[in-house]
Amino acid sequence: MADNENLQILDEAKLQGDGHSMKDLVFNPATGEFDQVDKGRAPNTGTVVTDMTKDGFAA
Amino acid sequence: MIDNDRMNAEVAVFNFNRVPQNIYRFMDMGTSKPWLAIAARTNVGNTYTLRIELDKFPNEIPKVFVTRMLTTRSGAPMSGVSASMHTLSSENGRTRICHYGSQAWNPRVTLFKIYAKCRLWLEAYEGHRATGRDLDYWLKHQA
Repeated sequence: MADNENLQILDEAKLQGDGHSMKDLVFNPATGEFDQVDKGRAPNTGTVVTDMTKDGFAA
Repeated sequence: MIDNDRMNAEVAVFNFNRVPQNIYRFMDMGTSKPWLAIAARTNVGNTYTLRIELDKFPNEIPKVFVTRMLTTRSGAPMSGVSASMHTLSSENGRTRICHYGSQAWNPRVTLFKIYAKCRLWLEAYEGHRATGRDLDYWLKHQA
């Protein structure tokens, strides 16, 4: 159901949510995948969605 | 309810973000129960379909469902309200994702943002299935 890459992305998202990451989370809708780039660096493809990890989820 | 102008604006946002046009479809437009069907594929390649109900969008937070009942690592249906799993009460046998809260919601939030957020929820769901951790281990709660 998940592999190491999945858990790395999630752990990075957790760090981002806590404000402790030097990476940005990037969602590439064309491939449907999440990736990471160094913070402040524009991704080649995809959309930076780090704010979603900081804003959090309801309920 | 979503109107044609808003739908066209949402499609433009999808296009700008390079969302493939063949993974989503607006359904039952012009009725009292319009909704968006959109596919999501996780990083490990599992696919899900999301149902985003648009009858009160954009003025109210749209209900988002996975089009089937997901189960926890222990096999329990994810049918109820759970803060730690970021779910709300299911309807019609579909797990409901809790994404935006009322304090964070405004009518300018796009369907793309909702989609990306729910896509992240799916990634955390698969993390839960792999590790047993609740989703809020990775996905923080809104303040």
